[in-house]
Amino acid sequence: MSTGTPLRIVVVDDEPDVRLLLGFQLRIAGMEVVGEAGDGATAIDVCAEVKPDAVVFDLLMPGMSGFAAIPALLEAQPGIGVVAYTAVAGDFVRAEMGRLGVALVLKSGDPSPLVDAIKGCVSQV
Amino acid sequence: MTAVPGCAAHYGSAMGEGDVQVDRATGLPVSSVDLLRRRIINVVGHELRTPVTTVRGLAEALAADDADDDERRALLAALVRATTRLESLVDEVLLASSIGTAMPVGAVSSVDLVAAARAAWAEVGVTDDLDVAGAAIALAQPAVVHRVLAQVLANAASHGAAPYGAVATSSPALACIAISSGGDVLRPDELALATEAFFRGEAAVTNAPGLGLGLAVARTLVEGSGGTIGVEGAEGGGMVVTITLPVAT
Repeated sequence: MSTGTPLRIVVVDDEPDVRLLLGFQLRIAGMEVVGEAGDGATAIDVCAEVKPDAVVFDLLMPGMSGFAAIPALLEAQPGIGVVAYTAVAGDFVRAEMGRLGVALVLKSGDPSPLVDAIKGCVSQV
Repeated sequence: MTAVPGCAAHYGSAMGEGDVQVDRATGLPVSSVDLLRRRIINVVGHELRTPVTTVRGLAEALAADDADDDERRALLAALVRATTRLESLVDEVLLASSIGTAMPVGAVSSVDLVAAARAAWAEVGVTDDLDVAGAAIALAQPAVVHRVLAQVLANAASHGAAPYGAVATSSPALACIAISSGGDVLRPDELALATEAFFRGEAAVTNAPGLGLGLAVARTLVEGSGGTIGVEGAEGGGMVVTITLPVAT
């Protein structure tokens, strides 16, 4: 990715207002939200279409959860950056995301940790 | 729905009679009180964190004054929704805890359970039909009956699957309505705990956000109305929630 080009992000969360807030916060951070989804299956379709640099993924969602969708997305698009963005992260969640090599950020009103994680996972790709 | 192995143990899972769970750190048996405490912490922590962090994020976004007029209006509307949800969560926690002051107070009157089920189903917003049969008229607070049926039907829509049904019957003393839904076969311990506050079935833990209060709130409201609520597994999967209330004579 060339310097100065905004990172292209897909936001995945079953709550529309969380997607609204993340869209605003990431735009202010200089990123471009190019797609969004409310469940894992839709997220995989959206990512196949828009080919983002990174995806911000909620884990607990009706239908296909992030636990199921993230491995499928990484297999379909090996170069994509993924950040798991979740309300609670205990032993199981940390182990599972660690196994997948996915950055994990706890939901917070402060977008800085999420923005840093997105930049970090994209730079590793 | 597919549960993630081990995830239920993390978030707090069912514990049937005779089961003994062991703390992974100490190797000591975990008491039912400890399990309930963990269940409450995990469920409330998860469900409160999202609206709380959304409120903070929205407030900071508005305070930073980076939004244009359209964005500001959208962010403010989202802020109202997030605070309303927090208010609703507190209300449900109090009701599910069977705190007497949380029980609505109002006049009782004749309530057509079939009509009430149809109205509640329309609010759930699922496109599948609710197959309704029978007839029963209860003597209860209409708003309470509506809220009970809305909770039970919303639970069926969130955690079950079509076909959805409601069958009303009455006896000289009782008006009854049985709400059925399809879905996964539920374990006996899951059925036994279904109306307990903060309980969530194993599949729900990974697939459906929620506090695990819907049926607990319904139970408090039904029992506060002089009725009963029971949960059974349905043949082939899913569940039947049977509600009885005093009959209108």
